[in-house]
Amino acid sequence: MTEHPIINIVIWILVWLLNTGNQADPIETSVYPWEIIGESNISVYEGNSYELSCIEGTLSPSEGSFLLKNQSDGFLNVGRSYLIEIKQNGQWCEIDAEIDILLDGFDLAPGEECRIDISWKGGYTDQKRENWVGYGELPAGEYRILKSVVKGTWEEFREYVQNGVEDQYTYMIPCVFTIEP
Amino acid sequence: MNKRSVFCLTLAIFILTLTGIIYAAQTDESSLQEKEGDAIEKYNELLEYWSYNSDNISDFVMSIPEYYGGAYIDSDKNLVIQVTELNTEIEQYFSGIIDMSNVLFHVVENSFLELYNCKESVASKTSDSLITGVGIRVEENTVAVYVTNEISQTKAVSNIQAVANDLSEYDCITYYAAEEDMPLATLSPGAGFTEDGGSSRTLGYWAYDSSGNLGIVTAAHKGITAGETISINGSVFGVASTPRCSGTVDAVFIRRTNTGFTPGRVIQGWGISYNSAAIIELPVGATVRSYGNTSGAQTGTVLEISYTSTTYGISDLVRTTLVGAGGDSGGIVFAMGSNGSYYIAGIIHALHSSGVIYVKQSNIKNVLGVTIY
Repeated sequence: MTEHPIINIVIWILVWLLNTGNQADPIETSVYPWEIIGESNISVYEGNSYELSCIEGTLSPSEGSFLLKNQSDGFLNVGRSYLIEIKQNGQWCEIDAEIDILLDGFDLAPGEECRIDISWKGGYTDQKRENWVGYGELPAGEYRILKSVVKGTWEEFREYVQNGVEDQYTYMIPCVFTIEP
Repeated sequence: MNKRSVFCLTLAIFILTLTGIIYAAQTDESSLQEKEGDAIEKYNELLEYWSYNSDNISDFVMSIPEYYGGAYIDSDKNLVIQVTELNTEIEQYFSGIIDMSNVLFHVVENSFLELYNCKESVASKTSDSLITGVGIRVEENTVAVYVTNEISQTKAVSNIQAVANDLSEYDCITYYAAEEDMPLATLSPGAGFTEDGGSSRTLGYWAYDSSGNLGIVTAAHKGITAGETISINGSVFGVASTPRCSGTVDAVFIRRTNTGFTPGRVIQGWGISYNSAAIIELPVGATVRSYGNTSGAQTGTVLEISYTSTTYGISDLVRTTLVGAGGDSGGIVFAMGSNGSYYIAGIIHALHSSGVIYVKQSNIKNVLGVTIY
């Protein structure tokens, strides 16, 4: 900063105006408990063999229950992995949040369906309350959850992982939901 | 003959002799293999003759003569048929079923039926926590009852005495202090299993509960309930004790009820055993190893201690860079101590972004009251 007081004041006014201009964006990133990374580049499953839907009445800003249907003729290995994305300016955007996921899983037989309860809120992970893990309470908006599933049984999933090819058999099944104001 | 001719002749004789020895040894070996094959075939012919259904022959489900005492192949690869009495009629009975070349008879005290009935009866009493297994030792013509020796040799002797008193009505039993690799399937840390609810996990390690019962420790999550029967590879393994999925621990002790499963300390994928005498606490930066049934053997670094997973309500966890995937829950986490031995650090709880979080062994020990096998 310069030593001249008038120039300093002008600079502060300019900075204030710039910030005010940013706030004109209808979806202001600073209101979220996380940052929006940018447009999603995740490849989402678009077929008809697997379907994820929100179970009515279960949705809240911190959790929701979903129904996963396996309409294929093969097994589906289902773990607990998931992601949440937010729709911003008509585009799905990735959220910069870390989450904890239990490492169990199960096989969903052909033609079967299962309920998946997800609590995404999380919380502070340290006594100093500096690190938050989880998506927090989602502010009002349109979101989609991407549930990660693997085509095949647990035994096959093991083989994929140990051969480093699990990505080829992993699908992200989407389910769009809205958090009302 | 000059010296050169003598040398060549000696060398030729030496090579021919050596070749002859090797050939004879190979012939002996192949002859023994052939003999053993014949013995196995004869044994199967006998079983087939006695079985109720020739398409499904069995060692146990069959109609056998009351004097038959079992059969085995001896070190010379003869088929030894044991009988409680031996006479011409019995010899003719067997020669009517199989070719009697390389078949020997041996007179024993107990018939196979007696041994089998005794074994079945004792097996039904294996709720006795001191008995770890029951089997028939055909060659010794006895029912083998394996008694826990987990505490000390002196204790093993008194355990055997206690079991022997309970089973005094049977006179064909021999008692053995149980050995690690005794009866059927050894279950190693890292083995995968699916609980009845369908959730897949990894076996952490074998342990004793506070009452001295042998069992396994794995992740509890919210899926396993107290008293739930847990099957492994389609066979009942045991019963879950009260699971803990709060405070500092996400773990459950599953008490073994099926002694067909035997404990092991060799960690799958690593081929190394842990030292059960102590546990290890790891600081940030320490190298840590794991085995999850999906991800296999992994090496990583400790990133954070005293981590709290608010998502699942567990605190005092350790966060690492270990790779993990669904099905790894409960898997063993261990590290090398200063003396070069490996010690258990905990079991896999969850995945944080890209690194495994584990429950500390010290907390499992305190909360579940288990002692590492």
